[in-house]
Amino acid sequence: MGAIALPHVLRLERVPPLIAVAIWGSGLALRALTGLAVALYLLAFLPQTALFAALTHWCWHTALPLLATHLGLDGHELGDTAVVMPSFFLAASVLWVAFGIVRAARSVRTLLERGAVGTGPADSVIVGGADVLVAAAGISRPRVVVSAGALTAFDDEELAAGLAHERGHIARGHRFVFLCGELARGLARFLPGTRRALSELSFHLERDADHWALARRHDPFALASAICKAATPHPTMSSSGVTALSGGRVGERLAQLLDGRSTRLGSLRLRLLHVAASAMVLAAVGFAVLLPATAAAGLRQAGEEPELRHCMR
Amino acid sequence: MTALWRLGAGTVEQVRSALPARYRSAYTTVQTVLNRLAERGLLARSKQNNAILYRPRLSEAEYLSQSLRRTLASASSDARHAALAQLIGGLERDELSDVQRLAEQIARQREGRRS
Repeated sequence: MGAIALPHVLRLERVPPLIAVAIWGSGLALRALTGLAVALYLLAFLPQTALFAALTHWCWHTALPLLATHLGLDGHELGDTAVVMPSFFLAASVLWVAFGIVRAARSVRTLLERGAVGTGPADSVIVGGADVLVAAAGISRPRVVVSAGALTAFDDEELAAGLAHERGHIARGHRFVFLCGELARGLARFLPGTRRALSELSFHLERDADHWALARRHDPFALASAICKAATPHPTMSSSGVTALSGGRVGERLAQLLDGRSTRLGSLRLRLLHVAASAMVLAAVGFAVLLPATAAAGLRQAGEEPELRHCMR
Repeated sequence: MTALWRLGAGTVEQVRSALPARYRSAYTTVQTVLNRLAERGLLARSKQNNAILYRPRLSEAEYLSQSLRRTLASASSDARHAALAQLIGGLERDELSDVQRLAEQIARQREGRRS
């Protein structure tokens, strides 16, 4: 629990993005594993506890004959349902998230295959639209897409910096981190703070792409200007197109691009952050390794337990 | 682009003449803009006699289609983010005024660095 809470306590806005991604990503992984662990505990371990036995050893129809007969309730079935339901909800949540991502990725792929207008600068794909859009689109075969509106709105430096930012997303494999983060959210939906963890992860991935672009000698002011143009609603587009997107902190990114203080940290603080990131990653990996073994042992033990004797109707 | 959609295709001078008076810049300025749009893939260039003819590579309807955003309009914001990592990332509604203020500051600073 401490490891899950740690990213929320640390101030990570201006630390090197990879450290922040490692910490928030591990935090999300720990949340997902906790979700799985809770479901497995309810499935394999809870039925073996005295409390569970005490609650379900008797049958409802003996205690509440009228109600049980009318509703067809059975104490054992209720216990089984209570044990299985969290796992069912968890599986449904993950499937729902996965379905949404597959559908969105397929829509993007279809559009790029059929609706692309032509090839733009730096091997990008031009799509229609007067709004200013520059994006890394797709999961299996990602491409940088640029809208016609962006091609007319950006000057040369802004366009180069914006395209470099998106190439950074592709080169660093951010889409896979986004995907894992999304699936982790599906598993940890019930834990408070999960949505914020995912939003912070996205924010630091954006910062990482900014750093990737700046490392290729692009002007931070040009990148900041491109971000502003992309963020400011175009007269011909509805404002909901941009503001409906959740998470992220564009103002903070712009401030970092303008003052360039993101990585000026003391060496001691930087070292401590490295230790924290390594500890978080190790904790997540350790949890991931231990969980299946513990679950298998629990399920094996559950199989060896004598069956509960239900009362006879 | 609007002038070229109206003309269908045109030389620098024809495009310049088709622009409203208040946007009518110098010949070389119009030429630079047209060349830039051609290099970016929005216009096609062809030679006609001694003049260079510029022709739009996408229609006005395509330009106004907003197809990518519209395509993903029904997807949840998280699924959209996974399939489409955008330059702006995410933008909170109350951030917009801050971004507009910063945009003005950035434009001033870039102008200062150029001069």
